[in-house]
Amino acid sequence: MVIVLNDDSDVPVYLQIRNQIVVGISDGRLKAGEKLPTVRALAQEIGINSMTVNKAYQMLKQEGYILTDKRNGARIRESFPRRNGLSREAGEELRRIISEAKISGMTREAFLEECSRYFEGEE
Amino acid sequence: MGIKIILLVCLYPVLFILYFALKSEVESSARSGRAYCGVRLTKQQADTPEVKKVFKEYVRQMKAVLVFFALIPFPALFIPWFSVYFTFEMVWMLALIICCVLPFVSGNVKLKALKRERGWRKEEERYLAVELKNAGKIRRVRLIQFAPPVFISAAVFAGALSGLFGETPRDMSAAVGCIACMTPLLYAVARWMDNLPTRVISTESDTNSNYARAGKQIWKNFWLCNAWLNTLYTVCMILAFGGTGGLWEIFLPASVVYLAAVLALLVWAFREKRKLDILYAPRMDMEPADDDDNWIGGVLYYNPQDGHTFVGKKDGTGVTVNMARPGGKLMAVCCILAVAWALFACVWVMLVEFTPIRLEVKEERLVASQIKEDYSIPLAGIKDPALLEELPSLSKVSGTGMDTLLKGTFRIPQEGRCQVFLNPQNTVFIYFEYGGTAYYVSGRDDEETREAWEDMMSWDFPEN
Repeated sequence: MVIVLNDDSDVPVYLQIRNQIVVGISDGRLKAGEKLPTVRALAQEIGINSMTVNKAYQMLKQEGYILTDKRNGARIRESFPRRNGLSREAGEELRRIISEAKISGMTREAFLEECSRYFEGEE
Repeated sequence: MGIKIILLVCLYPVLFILYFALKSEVESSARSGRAYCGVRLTKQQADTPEVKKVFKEYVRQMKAVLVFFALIPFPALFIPWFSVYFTFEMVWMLALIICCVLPFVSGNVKLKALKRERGWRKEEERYLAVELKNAGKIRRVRLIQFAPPVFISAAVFAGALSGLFGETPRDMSAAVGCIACMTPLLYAVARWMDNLPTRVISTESDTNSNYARAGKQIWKNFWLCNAWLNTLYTVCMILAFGGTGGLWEIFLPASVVYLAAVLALLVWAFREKRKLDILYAPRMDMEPADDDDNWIGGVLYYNPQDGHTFVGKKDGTGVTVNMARPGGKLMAVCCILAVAWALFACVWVMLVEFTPIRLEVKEERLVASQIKEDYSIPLAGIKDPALLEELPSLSKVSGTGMDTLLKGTFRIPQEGRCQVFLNPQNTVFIYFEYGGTAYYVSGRDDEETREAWEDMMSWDFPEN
């Protein structure tokens, strides 16, 4: 799976890594049980501090997307905790996106259609 | 003339290696659409007459550099002074490196300006693509593969130092050592290249992995063959300079074969890389990031955002350093020091050649000096002095050997080592023994030698 990190983005690099791995899991590019590169290898490949990658992995672990252990490194979990809803942070992020869409004059139908496209995995 | 030919044989092929490597890099990169003189352009942009004109100009300038630098070393062979010839060769080498890069820099500056002028630059393209599955996994260089050539080179050098191959002149041992050290250095370069981040060419992970694996395999084979070639050359050097040594019979053909083989390997590696790029061209669906601004003149990489010290060159062949990192700065300082050292060596050699030697008796001591005081021998300790009109056959162990100056430790067949400080153009020389060592000395000319001899003889030697 290819992750693309934007140098000019305001989003911190660790969050960009975390977000792209989540997207990769959701669209099936990262399979359940698939091994992720070690913190050191990924940091070396990107050219950033190991702590940044470690922070992304810790976040993914806390959110229940990956499992880490000293022997096998990081892996995608076989199953994910079902919440039947968005986390508080994700909910706030969605509210911000909806607000921006409203201000830009987007209709409810157009917005939902856009959401459906992303939900179905279309780019 | 002999040493001049050795220098020429060693340095001349660098011209063709450099010319071919740089030109192939640029052409291969343009062919695969990666970069044009180090500037990212789309196929449509590259097909415009302005870009084609810049590229043609680059090829024309490179040919001019090749012809100019190929011709000038030959008339220089007739320079009568070794130090001037040595300086010429060093300057030729430095100028060659600079002039080979200049057409590329010129093309890079022109294309960057054209890109700005036409509004081809896309600001939003500053991104880095990483293949998650390749991170830290695609490695081709193994220590076990490089261990045999590294071990053999080290053993040959150790043998030269310990006198296993007969008495080897000290400066020749140093030369063998330098060449032997190249083998582990080649391994280090192979490791650096192998550890470089893999290039993402496609959205398909398997394509990225296979492309990276095949590319790294080509460069691993290239460096491994180079390591073995260097080991064989080290063995040839010790055969040439160790013991009795058939210098000309072994050294010259070995040098020519070695340099030709390096050139052939380079040709092979670029051809393989080209074949790989052609094979994967239909699957390359990832646009490389536009990082032109991080490349000064297309050759120096400066990116404070990038944590890598070693980065792949923009053309995809070879390694360069990130000048924004401390390691990159250190490498740059080392390069500047190496150039400064080469220039200092030229000045030193000229100083040695053009400063006349001086031999005189002063305060009951025989003093031999040139630039500094080389020998100061108390007359009381001198034994068996003699004025010679012919020198024995001398071969250098360490020191200076020029047409007008022999200075240092030399060896006389069947007799052993001696200390020499003389102008071989003279017709009279002074021989004596001091502290169990034989000395052969002379002044700047015969007159000075005779004057020193008379001053010595006027002293009351205990043996006389």
